[in-house]
Amino acid sequence: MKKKIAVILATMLVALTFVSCSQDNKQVDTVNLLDEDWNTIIEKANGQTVNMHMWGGDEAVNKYIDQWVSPKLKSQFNIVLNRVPINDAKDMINKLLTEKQVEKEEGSIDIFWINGENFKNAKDNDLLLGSFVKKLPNYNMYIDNEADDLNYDFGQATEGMEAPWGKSQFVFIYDSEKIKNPPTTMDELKKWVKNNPGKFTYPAPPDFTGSAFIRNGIIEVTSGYESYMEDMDQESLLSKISPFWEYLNEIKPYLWREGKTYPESSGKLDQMYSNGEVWMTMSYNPVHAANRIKEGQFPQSTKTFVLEEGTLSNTHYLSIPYNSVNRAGALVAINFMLSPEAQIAKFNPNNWGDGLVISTEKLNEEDKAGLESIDRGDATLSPQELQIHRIPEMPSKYVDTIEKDWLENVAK
Amino acid sequence: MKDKTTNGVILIGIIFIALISILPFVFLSILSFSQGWAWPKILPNSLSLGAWKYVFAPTSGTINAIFTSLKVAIVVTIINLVLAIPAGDALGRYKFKGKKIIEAILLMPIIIPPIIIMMGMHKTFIVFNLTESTLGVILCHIVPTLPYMIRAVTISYNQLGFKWEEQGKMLGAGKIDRFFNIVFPFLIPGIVAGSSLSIVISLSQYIITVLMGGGQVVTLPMIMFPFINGGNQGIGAAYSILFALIAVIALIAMDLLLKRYYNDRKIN
Amino acid sequence: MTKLCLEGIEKSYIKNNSSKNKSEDDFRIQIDELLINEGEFFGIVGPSGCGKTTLLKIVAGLQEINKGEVIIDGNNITKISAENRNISMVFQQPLLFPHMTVEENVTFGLKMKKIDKTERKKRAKQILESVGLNGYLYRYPSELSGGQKQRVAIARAIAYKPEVLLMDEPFSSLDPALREDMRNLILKLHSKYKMTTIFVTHDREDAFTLFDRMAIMRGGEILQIGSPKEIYENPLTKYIAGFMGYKNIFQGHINVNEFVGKNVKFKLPNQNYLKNKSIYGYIVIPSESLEVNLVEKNNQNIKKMHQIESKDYYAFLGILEEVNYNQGLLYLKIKYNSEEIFITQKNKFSEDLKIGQNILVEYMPEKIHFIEKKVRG
Repeated sequence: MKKKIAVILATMLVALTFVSCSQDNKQVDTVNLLDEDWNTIIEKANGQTVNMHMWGGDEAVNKYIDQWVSPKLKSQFNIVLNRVPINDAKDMINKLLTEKQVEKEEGSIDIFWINGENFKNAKDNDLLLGSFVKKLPNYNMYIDNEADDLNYDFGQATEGMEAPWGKSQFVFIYDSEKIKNPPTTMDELKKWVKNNPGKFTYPAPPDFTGSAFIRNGIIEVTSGYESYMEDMDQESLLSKISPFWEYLNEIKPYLWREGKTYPESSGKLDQMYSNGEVWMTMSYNPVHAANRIKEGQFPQSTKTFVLEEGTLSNTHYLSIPYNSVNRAGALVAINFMLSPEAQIAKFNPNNWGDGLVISTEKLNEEDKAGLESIDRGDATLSPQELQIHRIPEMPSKYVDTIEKDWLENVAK
Repeated sequence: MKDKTTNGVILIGIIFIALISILPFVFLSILSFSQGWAWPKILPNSLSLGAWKYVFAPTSGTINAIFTSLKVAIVVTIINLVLAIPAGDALGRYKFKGKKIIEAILLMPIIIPPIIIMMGMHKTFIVFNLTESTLGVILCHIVPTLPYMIRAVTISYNQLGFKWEEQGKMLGAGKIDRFFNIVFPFLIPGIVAGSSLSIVISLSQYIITVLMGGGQVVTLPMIMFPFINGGNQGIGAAYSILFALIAVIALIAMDLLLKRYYNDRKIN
Repeated sequence: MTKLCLEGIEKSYIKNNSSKNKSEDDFRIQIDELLINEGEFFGIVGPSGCGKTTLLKIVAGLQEINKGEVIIDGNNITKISAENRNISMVFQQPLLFPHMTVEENVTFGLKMKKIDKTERKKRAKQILESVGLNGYLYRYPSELSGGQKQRVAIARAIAYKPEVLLMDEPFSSLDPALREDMRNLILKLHSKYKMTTIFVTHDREDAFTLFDRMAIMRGGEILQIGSPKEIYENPLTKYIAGFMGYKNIFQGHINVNEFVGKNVKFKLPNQNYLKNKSIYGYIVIPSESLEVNLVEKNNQNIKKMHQIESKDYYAFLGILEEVNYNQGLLYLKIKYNSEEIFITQKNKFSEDLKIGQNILVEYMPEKIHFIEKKVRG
């Protein structure tokens, strides 16, 4: 009897001690950190643990951070990088909102991986530390400070409050056996589709890739990306984009299944491409085709192309919340991830294969050579090529409207 | 004649249910070993250990996450037990004013999604410095799990009634003696049921762990969900199988522990 | 020597909260005084709902009371909780703890008294032998039959030598065939261990076999206390008479030397005190105090028949309505005028009796008991 009570109590005590040992000791950096000089910041960062919250669903990304970035941060700066897997970036924003409401000054996020709508929310709600990119030496050295596609995140000015980390760019994928001279403009694409009925289609929105194709088309067929950076109301937007619906409706009867139905995802479209039903597919990842070829899914003759006037590219960023505790560490870590060393390693498909945000012209000879030597597959366009033909995304708030309007005017 | 048909129908039913239960695991297993598998193909293009290698790589944090998940689930279940026993006693055997209301309040988390309760609790937890700690995560896991434990224990107490304890009293047993010798063995089925639910629900929690733990407390679902949700499906499948295995092992262990201790074979 | 004394006990409770039919749903138990002797086998009998189980529970300490005292060996135990009263109880269901062996069940009370293991084992063997269950030490309750379970329950109750043993209809869930064995067992145990026992039942057979004395309860009150024989020979009320098994109960007047009912008349021994008065009440005639004689083909009886009206011959004529033969005894129903008379007697007839036969019934007037009908105050 008494033995049993003792056992139960003992178990509970053990359990509780287990549990209470996990309270963190936190030391807050001063807010004025951004006024300090870089060497002081490096000193302060020494020995810190930086909590980086990022989407955890890509094992290549995870490996890159865990097996390449982390060890280097530790050996070079004595910073421990703690990667926290997140399912939906929105969760991070909601958490910060609540913390802001109760004025919690010591948060658990030091760096978060973010872009688009989430960045907008964070910025609008004062959830960010502030403008910090100019503090980072690598930002100043290697990144084009004037580039619109880096300074505007889905149409929202970053104002230095988030640091560009990597890029994706929309590319068309085609079978070079079947298509000798791929189109370079939307107009040429239209001609090609009409000459090759049933060999082209695109995924229906709200699929991410299909939606991007439409936005890309709108920008080229209407007036270029700059005009979409302005704020406009729904009516103006709708009238602006309507010419592209004419375009889509014009090619409709020449599409796969005569445009009566569309594949519901880019994955599906990939399938149709790989079994030869259609001769083109598309992706927001320039390396996607090369990966597929490696896996044996796409024919070896697969290649990619972009439009002369540019295809949509979106940048993803790293930012620091207002209540980060280990700010010095966060700044140093982000700066490191913008270094040529880190960027080129990230660019390497053996690690991640993500696009560069650093400008290739600013690299020294050694790094340039290193970059050249990376084989991203024959199907993948060179970073220079991609860089020349890129345009920024339009504001995220328009995306919904466009998708709905497509349903109304084209799908039906 | 009738018997044979009925037996046949029952047999088909059982096979059907067994298939439905096992097939998903078969599918997930294949998926976790596959490379390049998309509809409408019936079988994957090729097999590889890549997904499992990633899962068990040291940097993936899988082992730590498993320990954290189990640690939290076990402590939560123990706390639930301690709370549910007096609650179940009151609800299962006694009548008192406002009983219906209290019962409704205690069982509410079954109906209300935990996230709604968490939103409110989050602020309080921040004030009490409970966020980003295992203790905070444990406390908030109690919310979705406790009602099931209370419900199960209440039913056990209801069946126990008072007569057994009366008999115990008439043999000189005081409150504590009666509890350990008479009441507790009767509660075991309810405790097993409640604990099973408590463990599984705690293991499955995602959003409240993320919210309360702030990323400092990493459980298996946190690592798993991003892969299932648009990431590498093979890794997602591997984690799913791992998760299911952990849950099953935890349940079996608990069942054995309780049953061995109180010699369940002989309870009618 | 008085072992147990109940004084001024009152307990009432209202069954429903709605006070509409208050008098119907109320239950009240009221015992002015009940004394039970050391080593006595005391019974409490009555119909269901009469409060006998409640009374038992009050002694046990399982039922709280509004007023009154429970005293054992001169000590007032009213405020002491059940588990500290050293009183054991056997319920209708054996309530053997299912996860414990027979041995563990039986020694449970001893364990609670902190008796050590070896001593417990010894007692367990002894007591199980007394109830005829040697070798069942390590069985589990689920392996036992109903009768065996109840025997273990009884063994468990007496193993730790309580002050008082309470039993609440312990045989009512058993086969009738088993009940006789159980009664014998209880008697044997009682004579061996000499424990003060209070036994509740509604079974008359139990009452006559087991009890030294008993109390008849109805409506929460004790109507009569006495040995079964006393109560049988002198029931205080018509109700008690019916309860004790009397079937021949008639309403009417007694005069000096007779009883006059609605349709019947019985001669009685002289009640000289009555003189010219008559008292209204009931008579009860024990079935075994009547004897049946055939009239046809029996000259002796025919002669007697002619003496019916004479003063010293106590008999009447009736017609046989029903007859049952049961293990050497006859159970007869005779029609006397328009009343039914029930008779139990040895079978002295060589031939079967015929329904509708004329019967001469002889009775013993000294066995007829009169109960005055008291007007309820």
